Amino acid sequence: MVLIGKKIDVGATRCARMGFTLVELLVVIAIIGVLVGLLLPAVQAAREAARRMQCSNNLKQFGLANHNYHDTYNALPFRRGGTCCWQSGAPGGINNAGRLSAFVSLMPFYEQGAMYDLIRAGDPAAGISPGGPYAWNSWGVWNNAPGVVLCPSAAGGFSHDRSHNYAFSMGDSVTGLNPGYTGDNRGVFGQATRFAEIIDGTSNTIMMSERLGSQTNGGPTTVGLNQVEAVQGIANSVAGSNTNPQICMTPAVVTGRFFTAGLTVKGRWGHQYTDGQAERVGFNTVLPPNSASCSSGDNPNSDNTVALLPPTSRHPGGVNVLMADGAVRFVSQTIDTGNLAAPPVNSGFSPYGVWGGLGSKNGGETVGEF
Amino acid sequence: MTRIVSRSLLILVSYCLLPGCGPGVPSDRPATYPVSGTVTMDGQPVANATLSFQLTDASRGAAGVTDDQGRYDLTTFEPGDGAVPGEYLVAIMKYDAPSQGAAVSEDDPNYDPNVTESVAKNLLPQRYASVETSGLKVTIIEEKNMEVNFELTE
Repeated sequence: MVLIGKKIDVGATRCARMGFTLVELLVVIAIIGVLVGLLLPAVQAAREAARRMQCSNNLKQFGLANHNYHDTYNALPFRRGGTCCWQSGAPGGINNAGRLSAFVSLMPFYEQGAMYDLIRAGDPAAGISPGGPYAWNSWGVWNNAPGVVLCPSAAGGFSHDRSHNYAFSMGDSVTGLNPGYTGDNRGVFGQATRFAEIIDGTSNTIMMSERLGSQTNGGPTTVGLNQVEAVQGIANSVAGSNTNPQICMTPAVVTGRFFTAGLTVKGRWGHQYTDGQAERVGFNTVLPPNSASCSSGDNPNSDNTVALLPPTSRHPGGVNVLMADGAVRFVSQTIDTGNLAAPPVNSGFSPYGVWGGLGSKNGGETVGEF
Repeated sequence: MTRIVSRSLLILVSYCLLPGCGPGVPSDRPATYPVSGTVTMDGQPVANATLSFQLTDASRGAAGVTDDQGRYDLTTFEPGDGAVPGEYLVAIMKYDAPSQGAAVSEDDPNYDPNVTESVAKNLLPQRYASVETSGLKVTIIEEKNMEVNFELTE
């Protein structure tokens, strides 16, 4: 009996030592909660961080390609150029309508020399002249876009074999975007720019950036409530946005993340990397990154000469940009954009703050930290 | 034991005060105050008028577009966020909507890339179209829901 009693005693004290009180349990749960709360977002963000790294690496490749192109030809490529010209009623193969994008010119410099040679040769037997067919056409040679023109973060758009996610800078110019090589184009990609003409300094001037493909591939449709994301489409006929870019940020154009219901929005961006139109492969540094795109014009295709085309991406908080010196930087979407209600200028300081100053190649602005 | 609980709670709360935990993007933007109002022309509300607000030193601006009742909400950084306090010069325009061009789509063989877009016409008196000639001056103060109305005349 005594022995049994002792045994029970020992067992009871052991039980008291091994058990947890409610408070201890709560503390442990709280610590686990904190650790999970800290680590889980980090694990999820690691995927996007990896995608972003690939996107910025592609930009770096384009930086090298542009510099090697400049070393070879002593100038940067035209954003839009080629064999001339479109003719009414003629078959699409007679020339490329002077609209090949810089992605084609740069091909030999990002290891797509074979495709470049095929485009240069054309296909005379099939009625396609050297230089390829009209740049907006489907053609077997260029229908399989090189992987370097795609950013893996840029999901959610309409995609096909000619989609792309990178864009050439038109600076803080809003008008005269097409053809883009006449008149004053304040960005790096205008008329065969030489590095010597980037007077603001190559480390203070943006050369390329990213843009998400559009939600559809086609002309304008009237959008409904919460239907088309503002970062993807281009709103047509936004009157006054050519002289007052800020109109493109008002509730009349943007409702939450989406275009306001009733607007006519088109999906032309990111669907034809070979076509050099502004609304295909261009961006300007007026509206901050990841804002809506607008045009005061009403062209249903990609041919508006006036447009606000900010770079857009799925990276949280901003976009990657390639500076003219080859550096890749991340620009926040809250970057200083100065006075967006001011009309665009053709010379001198950009009215659009640090962002506009980074876009212009010869504005004379001092650009601080960004 | 209650001290341990309260301490762990304190740690939890302080983690959520760390930058990056809370919502929103950190920014050095100045504070804005909501501004709205109406635009009338000879007593009639003007729909689809565009307003351009420029600080007198032109360092910053704000914009608005009126709805069918002639009401607008100013925007500086985010849709409808208002304006930074200061003295503004105002210009007001109303463009006729350009007719949606009858041009054929790019996918059509008859597509003509040389289409020129139509130019929008200003339907309000031209003197209101520029901050230099409009004579409209507004001071935005640090006040919630400021109401600024514009009564234009021919």
